[in-house]
Formats: sequence, C-alpha cells, structure tokens
Amino acid sequence: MGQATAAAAGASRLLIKKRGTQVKKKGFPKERIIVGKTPTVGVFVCSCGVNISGTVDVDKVVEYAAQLPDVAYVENNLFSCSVDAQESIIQKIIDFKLNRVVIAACTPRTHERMFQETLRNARLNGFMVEMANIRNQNSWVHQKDGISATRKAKDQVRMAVAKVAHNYPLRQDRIHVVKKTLIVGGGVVGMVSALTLAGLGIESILVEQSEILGGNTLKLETCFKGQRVAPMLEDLIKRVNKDKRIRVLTQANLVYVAGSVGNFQGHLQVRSKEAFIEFGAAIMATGAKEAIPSEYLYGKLSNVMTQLSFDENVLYKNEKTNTIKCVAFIQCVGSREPERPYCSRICCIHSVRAAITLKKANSKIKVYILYRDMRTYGEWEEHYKTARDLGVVFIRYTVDHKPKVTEIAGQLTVKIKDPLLDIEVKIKPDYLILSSGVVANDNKKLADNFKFTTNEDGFFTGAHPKLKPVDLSIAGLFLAGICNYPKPLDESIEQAKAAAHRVFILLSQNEIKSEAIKAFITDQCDGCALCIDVCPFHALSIQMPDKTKSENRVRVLIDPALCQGCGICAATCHKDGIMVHGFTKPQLMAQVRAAINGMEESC
Amino acid sequence: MSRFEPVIIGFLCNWCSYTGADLAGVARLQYPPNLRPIRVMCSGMVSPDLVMEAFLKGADGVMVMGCHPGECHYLEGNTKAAARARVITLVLDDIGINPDRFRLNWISSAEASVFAELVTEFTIRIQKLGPQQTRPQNSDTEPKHEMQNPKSGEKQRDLKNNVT
Ligand SMILES: Cc1cc2nc3c(=O)[nH]c(=O)nc-3n(C[C@H](O)[C@H](O)[C@H](O)COP(=O)(O)OP(=O)(O)OC[C@H]3O[C@@H](n4cnc5c(N)ncnc54)[C@H](O)[C@@H]3O)c2cc1C
Ligand code: FES
Repeated sequence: MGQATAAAAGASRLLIKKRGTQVKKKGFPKERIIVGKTPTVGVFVCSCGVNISGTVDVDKVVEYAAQLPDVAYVENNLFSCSVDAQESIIQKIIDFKLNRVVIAACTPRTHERMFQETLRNARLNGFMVEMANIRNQNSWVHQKDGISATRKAKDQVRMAVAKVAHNYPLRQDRIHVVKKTLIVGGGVVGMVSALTLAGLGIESILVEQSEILGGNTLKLETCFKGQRVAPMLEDLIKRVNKDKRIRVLTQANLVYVAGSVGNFQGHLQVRSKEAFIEFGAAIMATGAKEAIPSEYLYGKLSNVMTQLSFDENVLYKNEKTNTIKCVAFIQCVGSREPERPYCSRICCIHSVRAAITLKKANSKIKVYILYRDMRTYGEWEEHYKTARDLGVVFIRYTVDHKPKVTEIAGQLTVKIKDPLLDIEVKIKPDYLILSSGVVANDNKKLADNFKFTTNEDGFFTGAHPKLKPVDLSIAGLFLAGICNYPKPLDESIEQAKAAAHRVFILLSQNEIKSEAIKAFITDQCDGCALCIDVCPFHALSIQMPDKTKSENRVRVLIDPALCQGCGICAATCHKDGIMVHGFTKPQLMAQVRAAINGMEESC
Repeated sequence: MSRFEPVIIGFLCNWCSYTGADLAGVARLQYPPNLRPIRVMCSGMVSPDLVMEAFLKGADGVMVMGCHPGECHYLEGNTKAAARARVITLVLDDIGINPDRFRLNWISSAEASVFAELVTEFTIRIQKLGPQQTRPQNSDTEPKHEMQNPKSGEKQRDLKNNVT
C-alpha cells in the first residue's frame, strides 16, 4: 500500500498540469423535511447477478420484507448499484414518499457512501439508509445451505429495517481547507515529503529541532545499494532551501497545536522567537536514533563502538584500516530481549556491509560477526553471500549464551562458543562494534500535542498496518520514516512520498466535510463525568453550571473537532447520557431485539 | 426444525473484525449460518446493556469482536471492551447464564480464516450447550430490565424528532 501510494505520487507529479481540468461538480437537490413523519421504509434487495440470488431465495426475502412493520415498498434489483437501479431507487423514494431505505446487498464498507448519495439525489438525508450485508456475510459464506442463508437474509433485513426506523438526519459541517502542510522533522524523510508536495503544488513548513537538516543520514556513508549518501543529501538540502513552497525552520519546536483536519493551528518556538502557523495536514517525520549500549564494556573502552561511530571514526579512514588486524561485530545488542523485543531490521545489513568494506579495504583484516539470526532480508541476502565469499566469519550465539567480553592491559578478548564446532572461540579484536539497533526519539510531547499515541516502544503507528500505513489514527495526520519503525533509507523515502501523496489528496480539496458519526449529549446526562476519562482523544470536558442563568447542572461538553465517534463514552455511560450518531442505543437495541424476535416467523 | 439452530449475535467493529468478516466472504470461506452480525464502530462501543439485552431476549450466544490489542482504530477501545467482558462474564454467571455463551475475540482485517474458524467453533460450542433459557426463573432481572424499556422508548422518539 505504501509503495503504491508512493508510485501514485510520482504519477500525479507528471499529471499535475492537467489536474482538475476534467472535474464536474456534483450538486444535490434540497433535502425534504421528514422530521415528525412516521417511518416509511423502502427495501431494495439486490441479487448481485447470481452472487446473492444463487444462494439466497431473493423472492422469499422480498415477500418477507413486504410484511415487516414500517415497510412501504420492496423491490428486487439485479444489481442495486447499477445506474438503472439507482434511478429506480430514486424514483421509488419519490413515488412512495419513502423516508428511509434499506439496501440488502453487499457490504456498507464499500457501498454505503454510494447509496447515501442516491438518497441525497432523492432529496433524503444520506443517513436515512442502512445496508443489510447479505452477500459478503451471507450468500458467499453459506453457499451450501440456501435455506439457512435465506433465513439469515430475512433476519438481516429485519434488523436493518428495525435500525433504520430510528435513523434521523445528520449534518456534516463544511471545513475550509488550509492548503499548507506542517512537516515535523528535517531528516531525509521530512525533506523528501516537502519536495514531493512542492512538486504537487502544495506549500509546507519544515520544522527541524536541531541546527541542521539531514538527521541520521548525515552519519551514513552509503545506502544499502552502495551509492554514496553525501551527494544525495547535499542535493536534497539545496533543493529544499531553494524551493519557495518550502519554509525551512531549524532550531524550531512545536509547542502547541489546536484544530483538526483541514484546519490546524500551531505555535512554534523558533530559537528565541515564537511563531503562529496554520496548516491543513501534518506529517510526522521525527525519525529515531541509534541505541546506546549498556553491555560489553561500552563506554569504558574507546575501541568498543556503536555502528555509526565506527563508520565515522574508523571504517572510511584508510590510515586506520591499513593497520587493523581484527574486528568483531556483535549483533542484537539490547535488541530482541524482553526490554526491547523488536528487531531493528537495518543492523544486520549495516554490519555485513561494513564487514565487506573492511575486507575490500584490506583483505588481511580478520572480521567476525557474532549474531543470533542473520536478517539480511530480501535482496540484501546478496551482501551476506558476498561477505562470506570474502572470508567474513559468522558465528551464531543464543540469548542465553551471549559472548563474553574482557579487557586486560588494553587488549579486548571476546569469548564465544561456536555451536557448530562445539568449542570456545577466542577473538582478540582491535575494534568491537556493537549493533545496538534503533530506539524511538522521545516524542511523547509531540504525540500528546496532536493527541495520538505511540506504541509501547515509543514509535508512531499507522491507522491500519495494511490499508492505511502512513495515516495516523487522527484525521489529517500522517507519518513516514523511522519514527514509524526502523527501516533503511530507500524504504523511508518511499514512505515519505506516500505520506506526501496522502496529504496532496486531502489538500487538493477546497472544503472537506466533517464526519457525522460523532458523540452527542442527551437530556439524560447528569454531568457525572464518567465518560471524560475514557475518551482516548480528550474530546470531552466538563462545563460548570452558569449561575447567572440559574443553571444547576454540570454539563459534559464535546469538542466535535476531536471526537472520532468511537463510542467508548457511550458504552461507559449507563444513563444513556452520551451516544454516537448512527449507533445510538435505540438503534443498536432495535437491531439486537430484531435479531432475536421473529426468529421463528422467518424460518 | 429438527436441528438446534442457535441465535448468535455478533458485534463486529468496523475497522478490523467487520472487514475480516467481509474478506471471509470474498474468500468464500464457509461457516455456520447462525451469526447475526451487527456493525459497530469499535468494540469499545458495545455497552454491556446490549449484550445483556441480547441474552435476556433469548439469544443463545453473543460474540464481540474487535481489533487486536494495540491495533484499535481508536487506540484503546478494545482494552475497554476486554475490561467490560470480564464484568459481563461475572454478571452472566450471577444470573445463571453460562458465561461460555459469551465471547470476546480479536480479529484483524486480514484474518478472514480466523474469523470463519472462531464463528464455527463458537457455533458448535453453543449447539452443545443447547438453547438458552430466555427468562431466568425466580429472578428479578427480567422485571427490572423491562422497566427500562419505556424510558428508552421515550428517548427513541426524542431522537427521531431531533433535527441535527
Ligand atoms: C544506527 C543506524 C544505522 C543505519 N544504517 C543505515 C544504512 O546503512 N543504510 C540505510 O539505508 N539506512 C540506514 N539507517 C536508516 C536511515 O538512517 C533512516 O532510514 C533514515 O535516516 C530515516 O530518516 P528520517 O527522516 O525518518 O529520520 P531521521 O534521519 O532520524 O531524521 C529525523 C529528524 O527529525 C528531527 N526531529 C526529531 N524530533 C523532532 C521534533 N519533535 N521537532 C522537530 N524536529 C524533530 C531530528 O532532529 C532529525 O533531524 C540507519 C539508521 C540507524 C539509526
Ligand atoms: S476499532 Fe476495532 S476494536 Fe476499536
């Protein structure tokens, strides 16, 4: 998904001149007022070709639906989603003065929006429709039992009719979109995001907390493919600084954020000055850092080093590599252990590549890599093969039998039991490199500011690992790079482009509609405040009674910009004082009751 | 009807389990036809009242399905659901309904086969347990619960008239 989105960013860049030239704006007729009218429900049962009718007896479902309470009209469509059927549905809504509709067809996850538009075209509020999922969750999964499937379809229709009777019109507010992006973090990912957006005509503010752009990449000599990193980085920095659509702020920190998707406001501290910014979307590109080891005499001896400091101080210095005799790497230092259970993915490849570089600089150097599992995944397996061919020695160890490192008179000794030879091997390296892995930056404040959470290890996670990998769980916020999880440069860059494209889609609109599925307070709320603590988005607060208006009730207030409509509050409140539109207690209760009642009749 | 066909209510969260169930359809995985799915936004939206109502009205089993821990679309709805599940189990035991008739499961949007397996397994379990006694005898749960109905009926009317 991430890769596909990154590719879409590339394609969009090429099409940018033509973008928007073929757009026709859709309008809807004025909504009919239905408040106070008794429910008149139209049921449209889809055959989906033979997808549904091949298993479910659609005629029986139609017949059954016709006698349900509130149902005024029923028809069967070959494909309810076809243009013909849409027109027929609109006409029937008008002819039979239907004020609610049930579509018994496929899944609301793919088709609800479309049917909402159908209703709007028939002057009904889009939220007066419910779908009964009689395909994905019925005909397709009960193919051998038509009788039961038909019975279930009747039940599903009855449940949907019962729910829709409780539906009421919902409004979606229009939000004016600020066409500017905030990018937090000026590493490669932040820069590539900004440049991708600039290419698509979107402005951004690139906020970097340190004095310089570049992040971890400043410390890398080559990428895994072997190209030198410095020229690429210099070019990126130059382009970012030159582009008029990118405002670069170094030594800058975000101190405060308000607002929501399409319209955020923020305060920045830039050196000693404060700045106020507005933006419609934001990308988190705050990166991560190399872990500091706590084992193997690290910090006590200067020749026990981390990967990055070995690269910087030894590996690429000929005067050093010419005189070295022996080097040892220990992998998984502090990683894949209870305190830090994950794998950092880059360390194995990084060490193997360093070993190759050493061997190529001076083939006489003895190189040992002590590892638990060699994870040179995908195409990087090639590096592992090359290293072996060059004579790098790989010795495996287990977490219960870690290598032992000692020092006598400045001489390091590493003892490890070779499991293949079943003997203890002694290595006397000039340098010991600890592959300590990647740990998250402390960005709790940033996460708190935007009200998203980090995972247990402090990394940011996508709203959905597969379907929405670069979206954060808060609308309008995206992520890319190693603030998400450790990954090599090329994968980071891909994610940067993907995040930029997600922002581009959002900010290409002048206006967006707010979600309608949000919490609301009912008359039953007595201000007990039980719901406030459980809200993961801090959308609820308490309002003290206004004595001047002789009020005596404490009230719970909802910030609609923060509410995501999860309903944790609603399920916590046993007084029905707070509910979520579209999933109110009466709606869900009606479904539950309908699922059970009439079970016998529908057999 | 000769075979016992239990009524099982399933609350499926929109983001993971409902999507997983849809995918089971796409993959044509076959499972017993007894589950009556109700889509909710999050497993954390499922009030214990809904589960209890299902049992008191005579459901033979209830499943609540959400995203895996750490993957809830709303960050922590599923942890709330897990906490409530423990309470629901206790209450069911208290009022004489076998807590095995209730189940909370995590299903990701990709785990179509897990969904089909869990529904199959649960249906077999409920078939073995037999029909649930709708109205627990000598229990005051039912009248109390009936008393709530007129109230929620009022609210339903309020809501219908509520122009938002
Ligand atoms: C030890 C190690 C070895 C690696 N080896 C390789 C390798 O050999 N090959 C390879 O391809 N990749 C390697 N990588 C991975 C590579 O470095 C990353 O993929 C890449 O740097 C990701 O860039 P980024 O922009 O996401 O993060 P970073 O490079 O970490 O940049 C993040 C930037 O955000 C800034 N920042 C952080 N928090 C804030 C804040 N709150 N406000 C403002 N600014 C903030 C930081 O100062 C930094 O400049 C390695 C990484 C590590 C840690
Ligand atoms: S959204 Fe699936 S459990 Fe919360």
